[in-house]
Amino acid sequence: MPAITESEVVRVAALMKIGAGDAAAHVPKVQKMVGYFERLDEVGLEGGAPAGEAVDVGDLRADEAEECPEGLMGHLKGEGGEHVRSPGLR
Amino acid sequence: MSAKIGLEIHCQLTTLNSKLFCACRADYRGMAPNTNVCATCMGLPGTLPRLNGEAVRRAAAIALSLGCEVPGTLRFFRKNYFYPDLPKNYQITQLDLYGPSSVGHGGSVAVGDRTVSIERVQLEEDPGRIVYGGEGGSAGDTLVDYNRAGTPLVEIVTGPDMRGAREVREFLGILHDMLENLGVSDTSLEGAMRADANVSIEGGNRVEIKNVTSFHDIGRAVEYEIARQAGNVEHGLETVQETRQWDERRRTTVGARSKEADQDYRYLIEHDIPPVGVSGAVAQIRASLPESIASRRRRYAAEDGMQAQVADVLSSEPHFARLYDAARTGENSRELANIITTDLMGLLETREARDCSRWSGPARRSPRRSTRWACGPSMTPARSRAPSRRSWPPTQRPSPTRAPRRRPSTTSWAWS
Amino acid sequence: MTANLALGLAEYAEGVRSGDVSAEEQMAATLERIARHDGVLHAYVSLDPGALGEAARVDRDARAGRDVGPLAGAPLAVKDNICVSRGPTTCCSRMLESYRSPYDATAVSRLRGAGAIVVGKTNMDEFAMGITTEFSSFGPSRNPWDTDRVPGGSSGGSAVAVSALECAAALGSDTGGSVRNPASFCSIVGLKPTYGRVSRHGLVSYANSIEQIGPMARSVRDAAMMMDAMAGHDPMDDTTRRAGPAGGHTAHLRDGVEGLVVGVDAREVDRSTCVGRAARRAAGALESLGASVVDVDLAHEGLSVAAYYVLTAAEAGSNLARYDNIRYGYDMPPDGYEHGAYVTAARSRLGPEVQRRMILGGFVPSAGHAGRYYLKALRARDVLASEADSAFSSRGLACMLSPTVPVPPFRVGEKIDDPVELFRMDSNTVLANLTGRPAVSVPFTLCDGLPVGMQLVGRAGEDARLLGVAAALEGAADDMGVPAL
Repeated sequence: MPAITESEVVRVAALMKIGAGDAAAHVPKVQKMVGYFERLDEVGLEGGAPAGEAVDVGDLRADEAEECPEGLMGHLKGEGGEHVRSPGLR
Repeated sequence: MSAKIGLEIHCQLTTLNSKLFCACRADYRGMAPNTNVCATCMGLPGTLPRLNGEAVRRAAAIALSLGCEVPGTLRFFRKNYFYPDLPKNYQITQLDLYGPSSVGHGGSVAVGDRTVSIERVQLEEDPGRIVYGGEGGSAGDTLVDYNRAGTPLVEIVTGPDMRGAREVREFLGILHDMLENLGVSDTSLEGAMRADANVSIEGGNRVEIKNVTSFHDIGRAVEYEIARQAGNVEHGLETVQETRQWDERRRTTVGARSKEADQDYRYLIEHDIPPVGVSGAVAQIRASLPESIASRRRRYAAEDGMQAQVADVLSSEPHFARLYDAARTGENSRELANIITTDLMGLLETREARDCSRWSGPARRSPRRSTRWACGPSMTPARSRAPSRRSWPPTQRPSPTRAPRRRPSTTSWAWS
Repeated sequence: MTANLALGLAEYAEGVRSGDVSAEEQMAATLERIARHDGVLHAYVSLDPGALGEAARVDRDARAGRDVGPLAGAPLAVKDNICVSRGPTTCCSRMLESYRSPYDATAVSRLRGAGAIVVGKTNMDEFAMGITTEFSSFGPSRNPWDTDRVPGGSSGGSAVAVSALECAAALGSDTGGSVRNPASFCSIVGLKPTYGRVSRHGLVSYANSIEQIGPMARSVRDAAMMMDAMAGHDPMDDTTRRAGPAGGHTAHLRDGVEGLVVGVDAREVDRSTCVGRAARRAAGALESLGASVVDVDLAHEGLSVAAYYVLTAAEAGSNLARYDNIRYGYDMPPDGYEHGAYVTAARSRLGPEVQRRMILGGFVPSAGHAGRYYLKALRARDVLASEADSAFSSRGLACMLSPTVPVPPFRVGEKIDDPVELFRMDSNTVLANLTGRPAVSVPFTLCDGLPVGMQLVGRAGEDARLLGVAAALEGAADDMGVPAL
């Protein structure tokens, strides 16, 4: 059995807002790739959080407000001072 | 039959200057739509979150005040879901995936004789606001205002430790007073404090209640839900694990047509924010916490011989308590308490009324998210009408479009 | 004056300062060359119409004795996933074909501040997902060494522009080899800096935990000069390191390799292929310059490509979620759509490779599967990092050598259809991304007339020393000349 079934591919595609028609075409390659990923099984999950250099809270951005850039909405849909239109929610 | 009730409370850090990840204003209220936005909080390509250090400190202050442990290293995660009010289509939040890394865990609050455990406190970003939700499939649009997107939000998750609506109300009152005492949030502002409730009765499934319209109604909703579940048990029915909406008009909870079950948040580590080291800062934050309400109450009773009822009210009012503490000398405490109590008498009388009105108002339908306790301009909290508030302090910013504040943004926060 | 488009950045700036070089003439000649060759090469997807005027201004400033910066007048090509405040930033995706960024990426603004002039934006695989530039929504780029061949990718357009003298230097981005792979295929120098050394502010995220903007140039010195201009802490990117000097990348270019230990992956350098033999010869060259060469075997290396694909897919799934066409994007009215249906319809503009990675990226961190894939890949990354750390420290390695790509450039359209076979192309490059280490590709030789580059992977934070070794290897490389166009 493949590591990911066809119906699983379609389910995940919907989650990612990729259409079912588009998703169907990807099934064989996605299955092959996920199959390749199985080799990750050789590592365990023990060992805690991933390594990463921490930043001290004192080095984070200071709490200062700045004027919001004017003209930003020119890069967006809609005008400044107006709402952004989104399709309706169910 | 005993009920178990847990709460998830969302509280905005309204007294900060800037948003959680950018320099837009944390106080977005009363502004024209989409004018308090920048490339970062609009999720434009190539932008990165720049974490507000003061937001971390204040969230830690809340956690410490709730008796929580604050881990030495904090981590942020992405909660992924598509929604129009979420500019990046993920929310940056916290999670204890690799052991505790949220800003707080393992705290507790005494509510009467009961101890309510605080499972987790986490810092996250508020989404934008959907101001009109049309019907899907029809011409109805959804209009979105992103001014709020990125506002610092602290989520407090309690254990299922409350047993009834009274305890829920009492806990929320304590939490509210604590947040105000810390000066981290003006909870009277619309949407500044919201909650969901998880209700189950012994042996039954857990039901999450959302969309409760007011502070008063959360008690009613919990009462109704307990009765509903008890009825199920009587009739041998199983209570379905689900999310239910509070129907304000009919005063019932109704099963939400929720797609929650399909939801899969695909939590990821937020690598744009490195782990944040706070072990050095925590001691400093703890040392600069304002005196707690409980400690103040004890002090007034023990040192100044204040009547229990007066000490109770005065201690939970940070402004009056500060006024009292600043003016009090060995000799004048009785006289001073008298003067303030003249004013306080009114407060005592209006306390119940405030509880009804301060968080009431129109709530937005938001099936997936927390109830918003709203207090619109027409719902001016009783206490802000008290003339004594007007003069304190003189620096309050006039803002005709906003609800008069119940009290000015409280503190000079001096931890930095 | 006659324009000399092959000038190095230092000579360029020095010439502009002294008046021996006219930035305007150089820019005009560059634009002329683009006009002549880019119809075939397709390095650029947009040009900045202000470039010539800026070059004239640089000349005026130089004549007036003003400081024109260390990169004065240099025509700079910028990969199209790096934001510029003028002109489009599309990531070569139809999803963003009409998007204009309101700001410059930090790397761009710093290079501009050092005097460089942005010529235009370069072609790439859509959202940087690919290794041939064939996944660009705007059509493939062509390799100047053989226009039937791919230039590599995903920063293919930048590599072509540098190689074909259509710019002085370029910016690319490297998530799993996207700077180094095309650098190798087009016979130029490409550096993937230590993670956190160059600000990602303004780099459109693909896999944000491992990618970096990197310089692409005709010499190691040019790459080092670009690093000096753009590296260092940026308050707009919390992952940039505060520690360590921002500059100094040219400091070790003449140090040589005397006494250094260079590790080689025996499996890679002893292949009986032209590329394998070239790698052994490169190791020998470093040895003859005084380095000692030791064989190194990283036991878990086979995990790296799997971990790389799982992490990049998961992160890409999240990073590309914002492209829902609601706040910005192309013109598609919301009328009559339900939100989810609208977003799905809008995202049908994503190309097949991107869609495939969205699906993988939805799957590997999803409930019930995260423990097997996403969380395992995170663990694998730490295992690989500590294995590399101990190899470097126990053997005292300065760097590790391998071919950048196991094969020379392949033909346009010679699509490798088996995804697992395609993984092999990334096998030498992804480890540096997963472990945050700096890595550079240096042109070394030709195999059947096609460029082959060598990769050096260094110690984290020691980009300058790595560039020193790269300069030594550059000096020992074959003289390949320039592509005949």
